[in-house]
Amino acid sequence: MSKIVAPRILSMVLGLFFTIAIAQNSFAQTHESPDNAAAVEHVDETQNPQWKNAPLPQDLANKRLSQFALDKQLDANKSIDTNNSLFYWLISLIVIMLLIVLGTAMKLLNGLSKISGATTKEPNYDKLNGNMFLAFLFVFMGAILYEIMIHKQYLLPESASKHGQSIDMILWITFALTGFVFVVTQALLFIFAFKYRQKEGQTAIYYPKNDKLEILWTTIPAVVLTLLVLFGFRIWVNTTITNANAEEYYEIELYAYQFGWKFRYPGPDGKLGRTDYRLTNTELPGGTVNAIALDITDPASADDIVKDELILPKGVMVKLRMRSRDVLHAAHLPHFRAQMYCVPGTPTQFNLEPLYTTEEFRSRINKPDFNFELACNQICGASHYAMKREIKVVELKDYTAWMSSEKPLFTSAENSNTNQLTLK
Amino acid sequence: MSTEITIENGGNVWDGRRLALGATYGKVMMWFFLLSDAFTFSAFLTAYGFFRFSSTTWPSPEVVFQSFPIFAPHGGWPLVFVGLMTFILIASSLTMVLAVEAGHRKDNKSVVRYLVFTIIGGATFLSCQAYEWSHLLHQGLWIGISNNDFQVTEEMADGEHHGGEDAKEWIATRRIFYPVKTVIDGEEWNIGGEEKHEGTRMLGPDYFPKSDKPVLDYNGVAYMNGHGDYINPGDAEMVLPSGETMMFGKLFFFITGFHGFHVFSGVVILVILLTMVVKGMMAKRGHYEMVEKVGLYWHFVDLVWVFVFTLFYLI
Amino acid sequence: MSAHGHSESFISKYIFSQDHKTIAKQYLITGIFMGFVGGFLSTFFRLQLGWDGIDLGFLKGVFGNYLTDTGDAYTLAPDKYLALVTMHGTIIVFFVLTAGLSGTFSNLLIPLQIGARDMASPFLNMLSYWFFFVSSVIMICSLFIETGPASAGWTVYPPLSALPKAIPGSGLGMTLWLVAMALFIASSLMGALNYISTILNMRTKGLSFKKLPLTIWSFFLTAILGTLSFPVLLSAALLLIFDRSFGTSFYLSDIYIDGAALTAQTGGSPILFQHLFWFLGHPEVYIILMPALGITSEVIATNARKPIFGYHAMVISLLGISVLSFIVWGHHMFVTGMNPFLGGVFMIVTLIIAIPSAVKTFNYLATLWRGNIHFTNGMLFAIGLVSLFISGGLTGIFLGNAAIDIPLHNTYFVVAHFHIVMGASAIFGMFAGVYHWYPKMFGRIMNKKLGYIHFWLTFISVYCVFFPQHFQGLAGVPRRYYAFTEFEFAEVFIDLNKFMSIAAIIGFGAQFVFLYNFVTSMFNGKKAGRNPWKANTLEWSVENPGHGNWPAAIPEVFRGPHEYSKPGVALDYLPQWISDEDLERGVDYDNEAHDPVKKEITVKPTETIKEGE
Repeated sequence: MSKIVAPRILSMVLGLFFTIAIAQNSFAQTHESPDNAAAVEHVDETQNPQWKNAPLPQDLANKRLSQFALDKQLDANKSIDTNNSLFYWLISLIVIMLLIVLGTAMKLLNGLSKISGATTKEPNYDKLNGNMFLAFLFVFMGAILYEIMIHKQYLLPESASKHGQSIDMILWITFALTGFVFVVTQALLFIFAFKYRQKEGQTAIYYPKNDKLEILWTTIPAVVLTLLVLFGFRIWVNTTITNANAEEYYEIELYAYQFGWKFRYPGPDGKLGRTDYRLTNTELPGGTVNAIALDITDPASADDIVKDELILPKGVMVKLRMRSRDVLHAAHLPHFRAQMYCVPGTPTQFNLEPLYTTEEFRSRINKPDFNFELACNQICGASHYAMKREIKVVELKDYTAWMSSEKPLFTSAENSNTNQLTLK
Repeated sequence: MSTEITIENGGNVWDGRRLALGATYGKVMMWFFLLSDAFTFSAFLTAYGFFRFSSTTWPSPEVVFQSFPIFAPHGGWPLVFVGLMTFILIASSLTMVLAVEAGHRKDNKSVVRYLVFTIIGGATFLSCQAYEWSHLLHQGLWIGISNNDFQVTEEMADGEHHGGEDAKEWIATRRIFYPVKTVIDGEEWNIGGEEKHEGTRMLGPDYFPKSDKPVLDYNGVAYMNGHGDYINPGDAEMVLPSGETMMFGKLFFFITGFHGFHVFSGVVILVILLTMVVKGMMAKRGHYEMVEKVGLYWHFVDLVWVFVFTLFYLI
Repeated sequence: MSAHGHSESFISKYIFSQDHKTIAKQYLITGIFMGFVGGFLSTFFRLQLGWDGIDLGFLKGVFGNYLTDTGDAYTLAPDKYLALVTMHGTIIVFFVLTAGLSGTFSNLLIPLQIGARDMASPFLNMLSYWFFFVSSVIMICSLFIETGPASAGWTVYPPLSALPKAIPGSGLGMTLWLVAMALFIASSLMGALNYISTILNMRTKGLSFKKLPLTIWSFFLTAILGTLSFPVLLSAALLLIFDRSFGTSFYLSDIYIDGAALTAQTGGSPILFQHLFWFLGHPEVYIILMPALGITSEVIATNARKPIFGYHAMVISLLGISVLSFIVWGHHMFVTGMNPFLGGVFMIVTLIIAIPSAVKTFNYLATLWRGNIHFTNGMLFAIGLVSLFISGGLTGIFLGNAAIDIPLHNTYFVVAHFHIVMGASAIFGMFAGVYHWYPKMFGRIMNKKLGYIHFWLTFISVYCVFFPQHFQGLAGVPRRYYAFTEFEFAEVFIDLNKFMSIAAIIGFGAQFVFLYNFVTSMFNGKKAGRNPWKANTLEWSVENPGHGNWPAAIPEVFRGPHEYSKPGVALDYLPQWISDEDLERGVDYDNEAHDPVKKEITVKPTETIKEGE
C-alpha cells in the first residue's frame, strides 16, 4: 500500500506547493497591468448596444470581435487574468491532482475495510451493466423524441421547388422505414443485453444457425430496398435527366470564386455568351472589370447581365448553369433541395422550378424576415463558410421586366467585336 | 526467418496444412503484389482513356511516332520503331521463360545465359525508350512547366531575387512553348523545324528572328525554336499546342516513364539475380524459385507494356 | 528458420522486431498515440465550433501558427480550421482505423489463430511497421510547419489541394501529406501481402476455410481489398504530385487564381481525381469496418457463450461486402455533375450493399438472444458497436438514394453518418479488441471498473456529439464550416454546437481513463491465465506465447471456433484444439495444469517443403 500512497501524496504536496508559488507570482501582477486601463475604455464602448446589430463585412472573418472575445475584456478587470494561458494549464493540473486524490482515497478506503475485516460486497457488475443497457434504451429513445421535439422547428420548411417535393416525400418514407427498423433493432439489442445477462444457473442455448431465418431477413430488406431504389431512381431521373431535357427554360449562370458568387443572366436574347478563363479580370470596354471572364467576341455576350444577387422567376424551369473560377465550389440551395458542384473547366447544371415567390413563401412559413440563401458546399478555402448570397424568387413578369431594364455587363456596343485577346 | 511447415497432399485444397493456391508464400506474395501493381497501372490507363475518349480530337499516333534511328530520323516509318521495341521486350520475356525452364532442370549455365539475354533485352528497350523520349522532346512535346513558378507575382519577384523588368523575364523563362503553328495575316502556317510534312504550309526554322531575351506575348509566354534559342514572334499570332496535344504529352511521358521505371527496376533485379545464380546460390538452395518469381515480375512488366502500347500507339 | 537458441539484441527484439506479436504491439501503441493526436485536433476545432471566436491563447505556445491575433483574443484562423479538420480526418481514418485497427489485430491474431509460428515473411512485416512509423512521423511533423498542414479536407480534392495559392496548407503541408501517404500505402501493401499469404499457406492441420474464426475471414478479405484499392490512391496521389510540382494538368483546367490564369496547366479534370480517390475511398471504409465486425463476432460469441448465429451467412456477407465495395464509389459523387444515368447505376448497387450489412446486424442480435451474457469490457464495446452500426448504417440508406443525396451531400448529415459508422463503430471494435486480447498481449487483464467508466462515458458522449448532427444536416448546414454565423438556417444551431462540443470534450477526456488503464494494467493488472475468457480459438491455447508461439508442436484443429454451450459437453466452451478423443478421455481442458496442447502430433507428413527466402 505504501508503495502506491506515499509517492502520490508526496507528488500532490509538491504540486500544490508549486501551484501556489507560481500563482502568487504571476497573478500578483495582474492588478497593476496597464491593460486594465485600456480594458476599462473598451467596457464603455461595449455598453453601446449599437454594435450588436451592425452587419459584419464578409471578409473580416479573421478579425471579428465576437461576443465571446468582448466578454474576455470584461473579465480582464478581474483579478485572475483568464487570458493568460498559464491559468488554463494550472486549472488542468489541479483537476488531475484532484483525480489522484480521489483515486487514492478510494484505494485507502478499500484497503482499510479489508484490514478491518468487513467484506464490502462488490456490486454485481453484470446486473449493473444489464440494467444500464435497459435504462440507456429508454433514455436514448426519450432523448431522440425530445430532440425531434425541439429541433423539428429548425428543419427545412416545405420545398420551394417542384422536384423538391418528391425528394421530401421519399425522404420521409425512408425516414419512416428506417425509423421503424431503428427502434425495433435497438430495442431488441438492449433488451437482449438486459434479459440474457449472466445469471446463476442460466445457460445459453446452442443455436448456431437457421437458414430459413437468414433467407427471411435477407429477402425482406432486399425487397424494401428494391422498392426504395425504384422510387428513388425515378425521382432521380426526373430531377436530373428529365428536367435537363426541358424544352423551355430560363438559363442563369452561377459563377463561383474564392470567396463569393456572381450571377449572369442571359438578357433579352436568352443566350449566355461564351467565356474564356484567360480573360478573367481584364478590362472591358466601358471600364468594368471582366470578373466572370466573358468573351465579348461572342455576339450573345452583348446583353449578358451580371449581378451579385440571384433572382429566379417563379413557375418556370430554371436551368442553373454552374462554373468556377479557381477551385471546386458547390452551389447549395437547401430550400430548393438543389445542389451541384461548380467545377473549373467543366460547366455543370441543375434544373429546378421554383414554386413560390419569396413573398409568398414568407407568408407560407410565417416568417416575414425570411430569405432564401445560397451557400457554398464544397471546401474551397478559408472563407468557405461565408460565401453567402441571397436568392430572390419573383413572378415571371417581374423577372422579364427586370431583365430588360438592367444594364448588361459592358456597354460599348460598337466595340463589341474587338478581340480583347490582343492585349499586350 | 523461414518457417518450416509440413505440407500434405490429398483432401480438400482449402484444408489446413495445404498450399491453398498451390504456391509457396513467396510466389503468392509476388502474385498479389503484381495484382496491386496492375491496379496502379489500370488507374493510369483509365485516366488516359478518360481524357482520350472525352476529346473530339487527339494526336494521331502514326503522325507522332514515325521516326526510326539511323534509317529514318525525320519520319516516314510510322510505328515501326515502337513495333521493334515491343518485339525486343517480348523476346526478352521469351528468354526469361527459357531461363525459368532451365532452372527447373537445374541447368545453371543455361540459366545464366538466358538471364544475360533478358537483361540485354531489357536494357535495349530502355535505350529505345530514351531515344523515343528525346526525339519527342526535340519536337517540342513535354509534360509542362512547373506551376509553382507561375505563382510568382511581380512584388514577390522584386522582393526576392529578381526585380522589375527582370521579374517579367524570369517568369517568362518558365513559360516557354515550342510553337507548332502560327497565324500570319489570317493564314495558318506550320512551324516545322526540319520536319517536312506533305501538303502543309511550312515555315522554315529560321523564319522568326532569334532573340537574346524571351519576348512575351499577351499570355505572358515566350517561345523557343527547336535549337533552344528564344524567338521574337513579332505580330504573328502563335498558336499554342492544342490542349489535346499537351494532355497527350503529359500522359505519354508520365505513363511510359512509370513503366520505364518498372523496366529499369526489373533490369536491376535481374542483374542481382544473375549475380546470385553465377555465385551458385540457387544451386546451393536446391531450387530456382527466385528465378521464377523475378520471371513473374518481368512478364508482368511486359504485359503492361502491351496494354500501354495498345492504348497509346494503336487506339 | 532461426532456431530457438539464437541470440537477440535489444534492438532486434524490441525495436526492429520480426515477431508478429511485438509488431502488433508497436502498431497498437502508435495507433493509440495517433488516436490521441486526432482526438485532440477534433477537440481543438470543436472549441471554435462551440464558441465562435473563442480565445485559444493557451495553445499559443505550440499551435501559434493556427491562431490569429484579433487584438483581443487569439482565435482559430478559418483556413487553419480547415487544416485541423483535414488532419483529424486523415489521421483517424488512415493511421488509427486502418493501421491501428487492422495492423494491430491482423498481426497479433493471424498466426495465433491459424496455428502458425509467425507470419510468412517476418522481415516484410517488420518493414511494414517501420514504414508506418516513418509515415506517422512525417504526418505529425506537417502539423507544425509554418504554412500549416494539408487543408483541403481528408479527401484532398484538387484544384484546392494542387494550388498553394488557394489555401496555404496546400503548399509544403500538402507535399508532406502526399509523402506520408505514399509511405503509408507501401506499409499497408506489405502488411496485406503478408496477411494474405500467411492465411492461404500456413494454416495448421484441420483448419479448413470453413473452420476459420470470423476474425481471420475479415482480416483476409480486408487485406485483399487493400491490395486492390490502395494502388489506385497511389496513382491518384502520383498524378497530383506531378500536377503540383511538375507542371502537368491531369486535374487542372481553366483556372484563374491569385491574379494569374494558369494557361499552361489546362485540359485536365478535377472529377478524374474524385473517381480515382473514391475507388480507394469506398473500399477503405470497409477496410476499416470489416476487422471491427470480425472482432465483434468473436467477442460477442465468446461472451454470450453461444455460437455466432449463422456462420455461413456471416462469411457470405463479408464476401458480398468485399465484392460490392468496388463498384459503389460513385455514391460519393452524385452531385459532381456526373452523368445522371451512371449515378442511377451507382445508387442501385449502393443500396444492394446495405443488405449484407443488415444480415450481419440481425445475426448479432440473434447471437445475443438466449445467450448467457458476460459483460466483460470487450463485450460492452461489442454491444455498443452493434448499436452504433445500426444507427449509422440506417442513415447510409438515406445517402445511398441519389435523389435524397441531393440536399444532403456534404452536409452534417453525412458527417453524422460516417462518424457514427466509422469514428464510433469501428473505434468501438478496436476498443473491444484491445480489452479482449490484452491478456494475450500483456499477460494481464485490464481494470474492469475503469473499463466500465470508459465505455459508458464514451458511448453516451458519442451519441450526444453525433446524433444531433443529423438534424443539422437535414436543415441544410454544410460541413467543413468554420462558423455557423453566416446563414440563417445554420445560426439556429449555435447553441446545439455548444452542447456537442461539451460532449466531445467529455468524450475525449474519457479516453484518458482508457489510457491510464492501458498503461497501468501492464504492471498492476490482475494476472491473466492462459484462457481468461474461456474462449475457443487457437490463440488461447498457450499462455504467454513466446517466439514461435507454441512451445512444442502446433496444435491441430478439430472443430469450428464457436462451439459454445454445446449440448453433451460439460463446460460451456469447447476449444478448437480439443479432439473428440480428448473429450471422450475426459481431458480437463479448463484446468491449465493439464494443458493438452503439449502433446505431440502423430500424423505422418507426406511431403515437406521449406518455406524459404
